Amino acid sequence: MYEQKWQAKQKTRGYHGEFLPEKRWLTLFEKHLDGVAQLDASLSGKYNQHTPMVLQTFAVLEKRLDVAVFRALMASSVRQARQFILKGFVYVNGVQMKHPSFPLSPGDVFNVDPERVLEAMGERKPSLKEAYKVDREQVIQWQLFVNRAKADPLNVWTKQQQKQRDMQELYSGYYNPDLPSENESSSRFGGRQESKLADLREKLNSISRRSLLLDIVNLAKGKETVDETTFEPQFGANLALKSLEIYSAIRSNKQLFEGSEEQVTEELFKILPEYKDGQVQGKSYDDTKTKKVRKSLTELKTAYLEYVRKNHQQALPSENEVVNQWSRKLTKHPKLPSWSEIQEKGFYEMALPWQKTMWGLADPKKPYFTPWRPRQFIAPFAILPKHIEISFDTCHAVYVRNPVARPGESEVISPFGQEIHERAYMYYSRKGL
Amino acid sequence: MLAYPPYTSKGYIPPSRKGKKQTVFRKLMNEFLGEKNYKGQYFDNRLAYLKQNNSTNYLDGPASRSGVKLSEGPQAHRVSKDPKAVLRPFSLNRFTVTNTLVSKDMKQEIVADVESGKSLLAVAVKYKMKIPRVEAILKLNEIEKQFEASGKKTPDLATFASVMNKAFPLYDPQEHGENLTEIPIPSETLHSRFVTIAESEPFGPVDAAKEFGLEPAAETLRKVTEEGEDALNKRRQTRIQKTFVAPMHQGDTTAFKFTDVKVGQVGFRYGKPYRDNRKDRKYAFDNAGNMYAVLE
Repeated sequence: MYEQKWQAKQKTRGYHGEFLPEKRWLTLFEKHLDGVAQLDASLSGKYNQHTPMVLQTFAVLEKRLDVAVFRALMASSVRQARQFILKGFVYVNGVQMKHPSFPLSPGDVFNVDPERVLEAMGERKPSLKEAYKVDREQVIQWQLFVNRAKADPLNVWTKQQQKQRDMQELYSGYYNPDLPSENESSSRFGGRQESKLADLREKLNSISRRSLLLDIVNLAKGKETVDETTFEPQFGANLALKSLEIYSAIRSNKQLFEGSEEQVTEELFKILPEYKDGQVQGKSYDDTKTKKVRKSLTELKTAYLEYVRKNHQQALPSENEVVNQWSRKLTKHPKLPSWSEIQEKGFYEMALPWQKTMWGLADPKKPYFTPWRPRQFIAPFAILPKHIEISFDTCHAVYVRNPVARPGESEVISPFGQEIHERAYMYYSRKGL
Repeated sequence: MLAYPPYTSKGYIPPSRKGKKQTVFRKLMNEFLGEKNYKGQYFDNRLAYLKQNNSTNYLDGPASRSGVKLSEGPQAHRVSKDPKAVLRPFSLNRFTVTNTLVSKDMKQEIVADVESGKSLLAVAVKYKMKIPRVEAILKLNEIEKQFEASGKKTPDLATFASVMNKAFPLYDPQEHGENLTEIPIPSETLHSRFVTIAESEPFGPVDAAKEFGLEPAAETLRKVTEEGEDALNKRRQTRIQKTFVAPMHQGDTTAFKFTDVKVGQVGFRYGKPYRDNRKDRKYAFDNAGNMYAVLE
C-alpha cells in the first residue's frame, strides 16, 4: 500500500505544483477538502452522483496566481506563468504583482500583457535561417508551379482547384493558417462566376463620360453617313438614338474628328473638364450647347452602365478564357539572394501571392511568429477552467471562486483519476508528516 | 513511471534515423506525431490544430492513439452517446470537464438584462449561471469596452481572440446550466455521528442539521445566494471581541480600553523568538502588491 501511495504522490506531484519543493507543498496542503452539495438533488431523493472529493487534494494550489495564469490559457506552462509574473507582466486588480505565490480571492481580476500571451500561445518565431529555408523551398515550388501552369494551364488549373477543395475538406472545422481563407482561395483559383464578377467590375470602372464621348467619336469617325445603326453595335438599339443626339451636337467640332490624339484629349477635357474641390481645372467650354452635351452624356452613362451589367450577366466567359486569364497573370518570383548576402543584410523581400513577407517574420521585432498563429498541439491541453472566467479579447480573467468538487465533477483540472488522487491524499493526510 | 511498450523476444531496437540513434519511445512519439512538412508543421495530426467550429479536440485515450491521423478521416469510435464526453479532456479522469464559452451575443444579452434593471438573481436564474459568473461577465464586458476604446487591440491579438473564441464549445443553458442550489459541504458532515432515537421518532435532514449544530441547508443557500459564498466563512472567522472601557476616576487623564484577545495572536510577546525560519511562515500582500512577512 505504501508503494502505491508513494507512486500516486509521485505522479500527481509531477503535474500539480511540480515547481514547488516538497517541503513548501507540505506547508500548503490542507486536510480539509472543499465540496458542494446540490440541494435539489438530495431533496428529490433520486440517485446522487458521486462527489469526487479526493480530487480536491491539490485545490489549494489553484488559488496561486501562477497556476491561475496557466489555467486561464495565458501561459503554456506554470513555469512560464511564473516567469511572466516575476518579469512584471501580470497585474492583479490593476496592480503589478511580482509574486507567483499570491493567493487570489474570489472576484479578483488579473491580466497578462497581451504580447506575452501571444508569445505563449503562438507558434515559435523562426530564426532568419529557418525562415529563409522555408521560403527558398516555397519559391522553388512556386517557380515549378508557374512553369507547369504556363505549359498546360487547363490541366494545372483543374488539379489545383481539386487540391484546394480537398484541403478545405480535410481541414474543415480546424484552424489551419497555411490554408487560404475562403475569399482568398476564390480570388486565386476562383470559379467562373468570380472571374466574371471581377471582369465586370473592371469594365464598369473603366466607363466614364469622357470614355463614352470618345467611343462615339471613334464610331462616327470616317463614316460617310452616320445614323442610329452606327452606334447600335456598342450601345444597343435603345441607346443608339441618344448617342446620335450627342453626335449631332458635337459634329461641328473639327478638332475632335480630325485632330491628332493629343488634340482630341485636350478637346475632351474642354468639354468635360476635371473638377477639384468644386473648381474647374484648366480651360473649358461654357456655352449652352456643351452644357446640353454634358447632361445627355450623364444620362447616357447611367443607362449604358445598366446595359453593360445586363449584357454581362447573360454572357458567361468560357472556362478556357478564365484559365488563360489566370495563367497569363502568373509570374515567377524573383530569385532569392544567397544566404551569405541575407546574413549580411538581415532580411529579404518576398512576393508570393499568399505571402508578402518573410516566413513568420512579418514583424521581426515581435517575439512570436508573425502574423500570429496558434502553436501546434495546444488543442488537447486547451481546457477552460470552471472557476476562472476568461476574456481572450483583452487577455483579462476573473477568478470567480475557489475550485470545488460537485456531484460527478471536479473543478480542479487534473489528468489523473480518482484512485491515484485518493492514494496521494492518503499519503499527505497521514499523521506525523 | 513510463508505460513501456511491448518488446519482442529479441528486444526491439529501432533503426537509427538520419544518423541519430533511436529509442523505442522516440519512435513511438514520432509515429504518434506523424509527418512534418518542410514548414515544420505536423500537417497530418488532428491534435495539432485547434477546432474552429466551437467544439473540442481532445485525445480520446490510449485506444485512440492511431485515430489522430487527419488523412484517415473521422473515426467512428469517437462518436460517444454521452453528451459530456466531448467535454472531457483526459480519458483517465472523467471528473475533469472543460468549461464552455459564453458567446458574445449571450454576453451582450446578459449585460442588457442587467442594465435594464433586472436583479442579478433573476439573470442568474434565466441563464442558469451562478451570480459570481454573471458578475465576472459584467466586469469583463466593462474591461473589453475600455480596451477597445483605448485602441490597444492589435491585429495579432484580434486573430488570437477570434481563434480562441471558436475553439471551445458554446454555453447552452439547457445543456450546461449550473446548479443554483449548491451549498458548500460543511466539514462537520464529512464524519459520521451516531445518535440513538426511538424507532417511531421521525428523523429528517433538519434534525440531522440540529444534531451537527448546523443551520438548515435552506438557510445556508439563502445566505450563499444573497450575500455570496464568503459570507459563510466570515461568520465563522469573526469572533465577538469583548471590549470595555474602564471607569475613570477623578484626576485621570487617560481612559483605558480593554479588548479580549488571545495571547500570541496579537502584538509581540516579550521573549518569544522570531520564527522567521519556520517553514510555514505566513506572508501577506499590501495594496501595492508587495509581500511582507506577517509577525507572529
